[in-house]
Amino acid sequence: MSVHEEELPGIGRKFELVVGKGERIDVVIHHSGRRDLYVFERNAEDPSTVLKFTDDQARRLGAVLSGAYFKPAVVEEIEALIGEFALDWITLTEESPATGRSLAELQVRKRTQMSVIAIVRTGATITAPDPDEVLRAGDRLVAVGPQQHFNGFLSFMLG
Amino acid sequence: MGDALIALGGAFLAAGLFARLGSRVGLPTIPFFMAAGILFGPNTPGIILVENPADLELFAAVGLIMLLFHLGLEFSLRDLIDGGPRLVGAGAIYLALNVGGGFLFGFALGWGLAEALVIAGAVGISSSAIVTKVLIDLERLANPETRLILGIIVVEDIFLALYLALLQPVLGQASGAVESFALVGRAFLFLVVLFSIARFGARFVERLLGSGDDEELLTVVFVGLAVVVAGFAEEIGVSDAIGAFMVGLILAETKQSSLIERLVLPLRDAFAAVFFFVFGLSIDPGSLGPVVVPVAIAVVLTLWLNIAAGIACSRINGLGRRQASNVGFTILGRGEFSLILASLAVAAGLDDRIGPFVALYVLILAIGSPVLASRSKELARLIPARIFPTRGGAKEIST
Repeated sequence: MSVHEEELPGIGRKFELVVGKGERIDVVIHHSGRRDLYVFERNAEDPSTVLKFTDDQARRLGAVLSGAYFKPAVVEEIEALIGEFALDWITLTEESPATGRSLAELQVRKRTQMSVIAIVRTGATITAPDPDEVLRAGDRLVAVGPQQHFNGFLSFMLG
Repeated sequence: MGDALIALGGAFLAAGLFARLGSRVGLPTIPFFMAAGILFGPNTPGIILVENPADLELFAAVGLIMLLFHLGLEFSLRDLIDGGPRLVGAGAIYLALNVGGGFLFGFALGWGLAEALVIAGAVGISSSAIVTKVLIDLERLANPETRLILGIIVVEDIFLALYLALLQPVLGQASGAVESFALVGRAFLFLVVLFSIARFGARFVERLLGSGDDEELLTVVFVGLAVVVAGFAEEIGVSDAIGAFMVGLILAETKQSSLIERLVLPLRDAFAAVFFFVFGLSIDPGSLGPVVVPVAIAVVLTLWLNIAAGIACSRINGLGRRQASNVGFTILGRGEFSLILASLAVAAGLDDRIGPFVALYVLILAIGSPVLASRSKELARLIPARIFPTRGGAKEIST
């Protein structure tokens, strides 16, 4: 697969990828961070699809495509069982308000309606963590609960 | 004080809300900012937000400075060199046809030589803002002709800066050859000094700007630099527009340039809107009547010259009929640069038909170009296929 790169003055850069049987994917990276993805069928002059991504969405898509975006095995097991609930995870940083405090101290379940069911930590994965477990930067917290409460949980834990 | 604040705030608000109506249907903002100025100005019945356009003069000047400062900042010789001789050639063809045609047309109007030069620029130079917007909105960034279009735009931007510098002595009230030579000489010297700073003084300028860590201080300092150099340039007769452009060019060489490019955008957007609004204030709808015929001729002329330039530029770059049509109708947009030239002409006291002429011309083409460009596939059929070598023709049949 060849990648051809060129400058679009005033807009950004364009990357042209020829894939499969002559289909072409053009990626435009705007100076603003926005990304456009143009998909051309073989020999077509007009794109069959144009997708637009924010910087963040584009990075996630890139991670998925590169195989770097994966779910911890523990999540896959639990996910199969719960279905209608939201099951997602967050990663704590040094700056997160939750870092350095315990689940009991934070009153996570009471305040956010979400339950932390696992802590994925380098070296050790703690399922059904003890309420007094002190959270550390880099911890990946797997939480489950009603879908509509996940965003509240996210901002409560990560600030 | 209250009056002035209401006038300024009203200008922002009227321009913004009016342009939103246009942007709902995919039209560019510039003509709407200007139209808001016409509607809410002293020359039309109804709400008069600003009685005296001079009240907002300083803010409009800042808008002009920010527009040119940003242009200088974005200017990149590398883009031009990377594009190669074919792109530069395409830009030269475009300008020769459009600015040349515009000059002959302006001269034929018989309003005067300085007026003809302003009209040549206003009619000949496309709007970067509108062309870029059309390309993004019509999802044509991956088209083969898009690079050609953007290349022509870069050449036009450079040409505009040179044209502004050359035009200034003509616009200034120089009486006699000696004085105008002195003006040109002084302007030239000023530009040489600024160019040398741009070339050799990047380190010094970087220190003046401070580290890029503190965005607040960086913003305050670069705004100060842009405005003070623009003012100084204006004082010695070089024009604030060129001064601001040169500061942009100088800051483009510093390591803080990409950060400044991001920080200046909201300032440019806000004050440029005031600039277009204030230009609109000076337009009396009654004065549009007498210029309708010249504007109509200019619009038709520009259409023809753009299609001709589209065909010529596409051919030398090995593109076909449909691409020629896309080039011609996209690059047709006229906006900020035409209005900048017109405002300089108004400030210099040239023939008072220039303001209304350019206002109406920009209004028609700024709105017409996106509409025509979205139909360029159908419009391509109006171009005779035999103009293009068989490769282009064969491509056409397969679609």
